[in-house]
Amino acid sequence: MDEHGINYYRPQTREELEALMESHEGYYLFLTGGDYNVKGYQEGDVLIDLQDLQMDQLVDNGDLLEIGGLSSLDTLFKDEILWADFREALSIEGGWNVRNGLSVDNFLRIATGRSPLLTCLRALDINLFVQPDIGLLALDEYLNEEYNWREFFIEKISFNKPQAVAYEQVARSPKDLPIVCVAAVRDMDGTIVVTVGGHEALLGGLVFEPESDIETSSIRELFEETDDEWASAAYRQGAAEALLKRCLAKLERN
Amino acid sequence: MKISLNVNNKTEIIEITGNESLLDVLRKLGYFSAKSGGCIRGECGACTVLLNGKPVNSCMFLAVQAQGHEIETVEKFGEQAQQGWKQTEGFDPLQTAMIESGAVQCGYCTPAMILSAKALLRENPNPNEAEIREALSGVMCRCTAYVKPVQAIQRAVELMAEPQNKTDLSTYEPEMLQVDDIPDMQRIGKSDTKIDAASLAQGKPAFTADLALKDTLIAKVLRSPYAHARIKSIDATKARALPGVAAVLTWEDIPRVVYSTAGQSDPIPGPLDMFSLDNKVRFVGDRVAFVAAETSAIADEALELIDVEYELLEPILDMRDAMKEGAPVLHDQPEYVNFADSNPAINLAAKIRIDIGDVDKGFTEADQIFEREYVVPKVQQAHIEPHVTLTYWDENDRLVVRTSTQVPFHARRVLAPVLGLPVKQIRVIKPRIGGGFGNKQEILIEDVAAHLTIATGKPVLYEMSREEEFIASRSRHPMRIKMRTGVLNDGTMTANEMTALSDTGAYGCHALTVTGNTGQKSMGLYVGDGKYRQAPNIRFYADIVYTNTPPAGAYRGYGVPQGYWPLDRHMDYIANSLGMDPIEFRLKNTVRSGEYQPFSTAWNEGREPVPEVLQTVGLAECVQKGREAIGWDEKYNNPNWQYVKGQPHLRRGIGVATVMQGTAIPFLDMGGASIKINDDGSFNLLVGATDLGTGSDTVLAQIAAETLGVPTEDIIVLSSDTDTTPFDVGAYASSTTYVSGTAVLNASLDVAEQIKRRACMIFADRGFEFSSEDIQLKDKHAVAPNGDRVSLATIALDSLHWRQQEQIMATASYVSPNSPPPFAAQFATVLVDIETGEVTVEDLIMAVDSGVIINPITASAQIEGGIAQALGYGVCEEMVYDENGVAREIDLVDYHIFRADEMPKIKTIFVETYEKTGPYGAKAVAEIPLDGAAPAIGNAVFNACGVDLLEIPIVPEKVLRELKLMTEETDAI
Ligand code: FES
Ligand code: FES
Repeated sequence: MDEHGINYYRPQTREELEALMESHEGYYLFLTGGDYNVKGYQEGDVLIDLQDLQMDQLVDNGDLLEIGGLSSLDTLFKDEILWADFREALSIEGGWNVRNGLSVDNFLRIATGRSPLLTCLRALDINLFVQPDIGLLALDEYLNEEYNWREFFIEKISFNKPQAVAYEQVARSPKDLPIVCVAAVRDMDGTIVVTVGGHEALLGGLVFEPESDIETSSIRELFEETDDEWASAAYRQGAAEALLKRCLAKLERN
Repeated sequence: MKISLNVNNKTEIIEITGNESLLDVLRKLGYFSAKSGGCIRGECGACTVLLNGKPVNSCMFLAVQAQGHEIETVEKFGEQAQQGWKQTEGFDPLQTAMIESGAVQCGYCTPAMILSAKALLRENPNPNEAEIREALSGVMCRCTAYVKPVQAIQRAVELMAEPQNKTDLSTYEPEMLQVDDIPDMQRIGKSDTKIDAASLAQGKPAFTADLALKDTLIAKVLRSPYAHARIKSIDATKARALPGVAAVLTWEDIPRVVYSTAGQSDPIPGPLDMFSLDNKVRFVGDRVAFVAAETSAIADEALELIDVEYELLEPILDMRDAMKEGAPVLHDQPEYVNFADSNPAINLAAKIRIDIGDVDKGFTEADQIFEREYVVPKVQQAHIEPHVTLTYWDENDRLVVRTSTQVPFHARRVLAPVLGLPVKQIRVIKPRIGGGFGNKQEILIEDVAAHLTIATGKPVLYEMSREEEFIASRSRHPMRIKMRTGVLNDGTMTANEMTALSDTGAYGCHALTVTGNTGQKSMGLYVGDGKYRQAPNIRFYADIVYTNTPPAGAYRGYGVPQGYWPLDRHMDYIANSLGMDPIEFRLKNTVRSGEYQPFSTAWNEGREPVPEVLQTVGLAECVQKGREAIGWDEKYNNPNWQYVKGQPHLRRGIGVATVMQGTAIPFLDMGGASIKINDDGSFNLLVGATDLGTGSDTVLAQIAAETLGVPTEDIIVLSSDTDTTPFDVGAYASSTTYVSGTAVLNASLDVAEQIKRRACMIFADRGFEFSSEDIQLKDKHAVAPNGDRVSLATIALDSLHWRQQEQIMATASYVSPNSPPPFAAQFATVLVDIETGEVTVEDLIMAVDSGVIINPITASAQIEGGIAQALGYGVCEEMVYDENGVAREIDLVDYHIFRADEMPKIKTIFVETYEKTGPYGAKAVAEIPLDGAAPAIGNAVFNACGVDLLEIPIVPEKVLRELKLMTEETDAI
């Protein structure tokens, strides 16, 4: 540690990273790109900045898309592989400079159920590769487990490319965070995954198998316990059903 | 730790400590174009810099993370072409376009806008409007509605392609219609460039926090976690012992002086009910202790070390409970000083009872009486520059207060007793202000820094965080307003009554005057028709009560927007109920020129009323122009327009609101101005008026330039410094152009006369005898009737050096006997989703009669920015508290202000009348755009789907609830 209490490292290789973690066990804070971690800094922390470890790549493996944990959210916005509705959700998540500053890793550390992007990522059923030592996790697993994020970072996320993505929301203004939102993804085998958001807590989702009858009212159950200062559960239930119908219509068109 | 940063292609080596953000370090290095909006989550974008060519919020990066990357700030991009013998390449086309277009209002967000646009144009040299808006989406602007910044970027694209191509300023100008004959003038009516735009577009250190003094301490305030409590004990021992802490002050350490934070003339028209620090807290966020420390982090740590024991008291959180029998009393301190009808024993901060005519008789004459209750929320000014003050002792042991204030002279007067200093020992300097909108018409933070400077002897900087802005600054008063209106079946109004319950929060600053305006400037618009025109029957009663919520105060519009939601919605309701055209109904009953502003006969902000006959009322013309521009006749009740093809869940609606504001407070608002000539025939104009981003310095310079026959750039404006500029009440009540402008006009006329006399001496030397009335001032010359000319530079040299030496100069002041109201018609179209209740505002068009428009670009920028704030008031802005009085909104995420990429189309039209009492025919501009958007949107929603809302903001659930009720009612039938 230097005289001003900063101990900052920027490892260039995985080996260097591992050596640093070993020598400062339990006392480090990962800096994972443009950064909301700044707020979690405590005097005396060892800062390990991962920016030089090439974790900001977007790799298109045909059916599978892999996105580095240190990719900025704007990388997703600009990538033509992604879909119009997904991009709309991203743009609501934050303006250009916010998206440039915020990495996928940092976004997932702070995202709540109110997030439009998180709602889409949940519908895409993304997997996370979490380091050190955790390995592959489903997104909901990561979100629901109480990981002490000071000790972990997301190396990459990955998901199978779907056939189509639809996103709809209700908010006070076009780019305001949603009061209620619905994301629906039709994957390559025709299964439709629906997730919902607009409420601080993470809510459940729906899965419709190919060719199955879709009962749109089933979405109401997801909002049963969602009375809060922004809207009543009853309102969210009704609006969500309307949004689901629109998402399904969009999937149909695509 | 020493780090090296590459800033603007220059290597900067700097020692950093702790978790210093890139923003903090850039500012330490002198790159002041990166601004702080006091954010919690990086939401405002004022701190934007380019990192490897991409815009990012520098407050959200540690400085160490930026090592090895290319950082760009606005300082890199261009500067004045002429700097003495040094020639530079001049401005970047983006800066040029921002300066010319009027996109630079307060200028606080301008560097961030320029950088975002720069990054965009590098990636995409020919972007469309949507792409431009997307690029600006992370930069919050509270002044411009993004209209002119978007135009500027479009213009920059052209300038980059054809740099020699001169800008046609009329492309930025609003549509104008002259109702009265207005003489063609030299500078009045011209869109001269805002005089501070160039410096702000370069990111020059123009704002309060941009002055770095050696050893400046950072101030922080410990705030109450409870809505209502007595401080039983407070122990700051541990905090004081913390290394790096210079002072901790509690209520036991400073004099107990009762005062009001309202920045108003003496005597303040409201109760004195506040102390710098008290032994009682009255809202979550109230002050408990002040800390000054070497760094922000140490100050934060010290706050944590202060032990406070509270005795919790029952809070009042609903204004309807404030005056109930047995309600807890907020102000039980013996020092409380009443004003007029205030009565702290029943939590009454102020009371208004105004009866004009015979209201009860008017109701008995009515064929029908319409009665409803409306609700308006508490909302925040949300200026992007937070409140910020720097205090220090100067070399003469005088306290200097450099502060972001709208009211430097009131600040000095109010601070003196609070600090135990004579007025003469305080100097208040107002640099550029990054927006205020009324919230800086308050002596809100100056005392914090000043007490700490007195305690430590050191400079102290206090800058509110965004969270503090929400929980501890001021806001628009929430109100519950009952309307009762009597009409004849032909639509003639016979009596109109408004009864308001207004919530001033924990302190009574502006309680009486804001709420007085609610009635005066809204209810004064409608007098009735026929015999009622001469003898209108109007009643306005209000109780303004204390609650344990953050205090309300001044917010642009000053009570009037609260009046127009109920009033105009009510007018629409009555017109619809009578089956009358809503425009016809309004115009049948609105006041006309030659009639009294009815309230002028009965009310003047707690002072003697002075009846005033209105000279200029361009409302009918505003309605006509707005109606044409929005296509009212094609759209109103036209199902082909209202139904959206292929979207059965959508309905379109169109609405109108007619509004009136005021222009200054008659016989009270006073402004002063001094002008002197320089050797080269330029002039220094010293004004106490405060330009808070509105362009008022430019407008005042144009008034002087017009009178003195010089270009506006020959008027060098200094505003404002209590040591050097004349007194002015400050920037509020839409008074600057009208009152301070008349002071400038009077001082200019005096100087012009002196110049003309001196010119006559020179003409006499040439053998021609003229009197000063024969001389005209134009093109920097005094021109004789025979065409002979003498330059102002020659006149200046003659007077200053050659003979009978004297300084040509004058000082004048002005207090107006009049308050000629501006008028406007606001139109809105909306799209309503009848399945979810979501409302999307598509168009907002405002046609405004503000008298003669002195600077069309600056004035239209004012209207656009005001409309954007009013749009938020209508659909998304509100401050809500839980059962413990804890705020829901503490950042700009939950408190949503519109982004560039979601704005409706906004258009301004000026209908020019010639107001003889104003300088060159001008009336006020600044506040009227706040009044009409919310009711026009509400009326449009009704037109779209029949939902008749009584409460704003119009959030989706309210709309859907009403739609459901309507369906149930229809089903029941
Ligand atoms: S986003 Fe950085 S100060 Fe507001
Ligand atoms: S000009 Fe944008 S915040 Fe004032």
